[in-house]
Amino acid sequence: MPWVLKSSGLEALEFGARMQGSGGAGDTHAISLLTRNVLEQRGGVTVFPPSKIAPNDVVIPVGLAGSPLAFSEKPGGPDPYTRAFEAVAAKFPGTRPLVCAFEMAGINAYAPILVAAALDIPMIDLDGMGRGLSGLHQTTFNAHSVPMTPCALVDASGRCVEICGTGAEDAERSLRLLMGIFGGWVAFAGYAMDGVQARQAGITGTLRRAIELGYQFQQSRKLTASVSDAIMHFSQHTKGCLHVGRGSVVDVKWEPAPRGSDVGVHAKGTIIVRAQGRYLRIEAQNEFLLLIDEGRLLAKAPQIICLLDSHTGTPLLSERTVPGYGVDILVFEAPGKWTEASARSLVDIAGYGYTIPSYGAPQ
Amino acid sequence: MTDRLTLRELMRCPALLHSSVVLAEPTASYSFVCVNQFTANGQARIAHLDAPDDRQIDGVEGIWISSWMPSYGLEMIFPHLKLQGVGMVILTPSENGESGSSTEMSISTRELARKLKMSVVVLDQPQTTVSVAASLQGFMKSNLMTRSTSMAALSRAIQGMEPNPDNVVSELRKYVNAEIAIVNSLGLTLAGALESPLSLGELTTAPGQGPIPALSANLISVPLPPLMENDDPALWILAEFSTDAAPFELEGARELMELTASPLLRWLTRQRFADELFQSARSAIVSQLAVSGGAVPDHLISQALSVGWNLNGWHTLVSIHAPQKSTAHDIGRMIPAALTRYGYSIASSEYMDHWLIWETQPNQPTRTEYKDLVGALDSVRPPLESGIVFGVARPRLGPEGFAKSIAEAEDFARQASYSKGRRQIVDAQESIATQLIRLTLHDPALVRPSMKFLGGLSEEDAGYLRDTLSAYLKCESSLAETARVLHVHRNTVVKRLEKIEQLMEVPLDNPDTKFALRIALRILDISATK
Repeated sequence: MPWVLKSSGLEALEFGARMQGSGGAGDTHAISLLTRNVLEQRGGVTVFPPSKIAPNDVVIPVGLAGSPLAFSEKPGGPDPYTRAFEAVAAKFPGTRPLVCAFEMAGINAYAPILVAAALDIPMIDLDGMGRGLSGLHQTTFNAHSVPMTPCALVDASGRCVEICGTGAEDAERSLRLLMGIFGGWVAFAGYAMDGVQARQAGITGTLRRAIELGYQFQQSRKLTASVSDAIMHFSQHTKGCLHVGRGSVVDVKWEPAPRGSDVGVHAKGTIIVRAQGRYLRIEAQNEFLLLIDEGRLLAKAPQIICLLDSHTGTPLLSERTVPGYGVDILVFEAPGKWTEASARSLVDIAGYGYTIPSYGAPQ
Repeated sequence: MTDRLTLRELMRCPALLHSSVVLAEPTASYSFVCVNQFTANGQARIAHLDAPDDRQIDGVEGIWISSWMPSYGLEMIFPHLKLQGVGMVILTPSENGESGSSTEMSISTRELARKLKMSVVVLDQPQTTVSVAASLQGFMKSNLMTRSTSMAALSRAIQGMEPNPDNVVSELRKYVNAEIAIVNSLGLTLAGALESPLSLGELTTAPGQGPIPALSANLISVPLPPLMENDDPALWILAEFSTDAAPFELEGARELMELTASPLLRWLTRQRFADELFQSARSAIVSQLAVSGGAVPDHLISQALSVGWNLNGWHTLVSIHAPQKSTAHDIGRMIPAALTRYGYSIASSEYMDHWLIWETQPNQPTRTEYKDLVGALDSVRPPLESGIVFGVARPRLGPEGFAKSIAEAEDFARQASYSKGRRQIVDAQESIATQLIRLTLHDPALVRPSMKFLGGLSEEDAGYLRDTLSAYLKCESSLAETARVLHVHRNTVVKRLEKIEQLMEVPLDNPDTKFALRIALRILDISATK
């Protein structure tokens, strides 16, 4: 059933989007305020489930590409996203363009809302990642052979670059090279699909899922006396959520990407949490990728590893986790589509430069 | 010769079990090269190591050598290596020069290594030091597979037999190339033998677990936990190796000995339980005899007969006091057995926290026979530092004599314990000092002046004050010691001494007064005994 997303749902969305970000996908604060303003003016956005897409509709995912940190320093309004969306939609004349997210996590959860509100078009509740991931090629759309191009990149000042006729990985590489010129981030629109492709290739219901996570935490907060109790309540009453431990961050080390390494190679971080007398180790890049408990591999991407501030209940970003934080570590199952054989290689941990010994399957 | 293995294969690799020495090569998939072949002159082809120092490799079961790998990879491998018996990890720089250092390892990696009791050594520079390979040969003899097989076989053997010290020693000898013995807390060997026998002192100086410090390094000792809280270990399993035994041999023996500890403890508990049942009946008869005074009822004599005691002969009783009950128990069993070797027929029973042993004869023992018994006791007694003391009463006739002897033997044993280690056996033989006292103080004419001197203190109801004064003088005017002997608070002693001074109207700090008081009290004691 279609439903309307109003500004009142944004607080819940912010929590859920950060959770699904798994430590990545950027700080949602600025874009959440921006979206609230837009939704209050427009009244809301109609969200369609993927089943409502007609076969001859075209679904165009939008989002932010580049550095979320750069976006925080130099945020932009809905215009770049709208222009990128329109640039791609113009390639499919005679069809009804619909918008969705390519990543329903962090900052990227808000981009389709801004587009839908600005253009007064329906938003489709699906995305191509189901969580936060670093590369634009790491989408289930790509796994289902949906071409990333034609895609459009629009920066904050309105400059637009369109890429056509290349594969997702090459397009991603080109995009990263352009990022320096564009000032760190661009609005992205690409992976245009018809209705059939969208239903097959997308991960459905991720917006609703993000909002439900937020509502569940709000509910837990009302039912319990403290934030830490609320986190426990939340983990116990949220399907697919595992509370791994509570402790303090005792050590954080970041190792920059080696000079001259390929585009898309990120800095590697290690976060050590002392929890109940044991040390939990989290390997991170843009997102939290590996969770190791005294040698046992507890979780790895695409499972969603979240660190929540035990005092505020805020999901933490990987680059903002510093020693001294009291944290709760939660793990969510990977979105189902990532377990398909064609998709697995795109999010395999080896792609991030980690080699897991062959016996180290999650236990 | 080398074999390339994947990690999965490595974990099942017999070579790891046999050699404990594995060298890893840096490849993306963590494949490993296992080194377990050395040339005749002790060189290995693959060795890029500095020799670890002796302190680092002491007691290590297996060594795992790997090129540098990320900390998270190490963490994942550590538990698996530990399961395979690896106690030390040596990290060498990888071929592309990438290397870390132990300080760069994250806190979680270091903590995990510490928890698993694994040493991690990070080598900074690749150096072809073949000597390390030769030094590692020693560890190749540390055949983990053989050790685990031995443990399994010994477990099966112990399960299939009735464990007792003899059986356990004989089984252990099959797997441990050493002299094996099982000794009790007094150092008495229950089974087996060591080349150099131990004394009680050597065992009791060993605190808790671990080798006995006073002994040589080639002696492994495994103490059984005490049966009672704050007690000494109930038994010790000891293995004495030749001086050139390798550390891993000692370590393997310790594991096997620890395996036998639990069945032995079960045996010991059963023994103690059976003894306790029997002893409680005998102990009750002795207690009743002790309080019967001059007239022993007939039923008590019948009860004594029912446990095999003939109370109608001449009895020479020995009271044994020990600092701990379990020690008294051991000594109460050990001394009669030892005296049997001298031709004595000794009965024994627990009495309160102490132990009583006695010999019963149809005829009155002569002075020489009494002296011989004391001499025999002296030759089998444990060393003075054990804190065990003996009181030997003079021979007495019949049930009444037995009852009186209990009190006397107890009194003598107490005197021995008050002597602070000066005397371990107090008996009724007269020394020259005793003879002198008998000749000078046993004159009835001295009783009256003594009573006059003591004044109010000689009254019947002042008995507790006389005891206090007597103890105070015997303890060389030490208030603390007097309080300990009388089991009262120090302030009580002070109050009583003040009262004594009031009653006698003399200060107690005059040495002559003290001397006179000792004489007077002794004369009163002698007259009371008569």
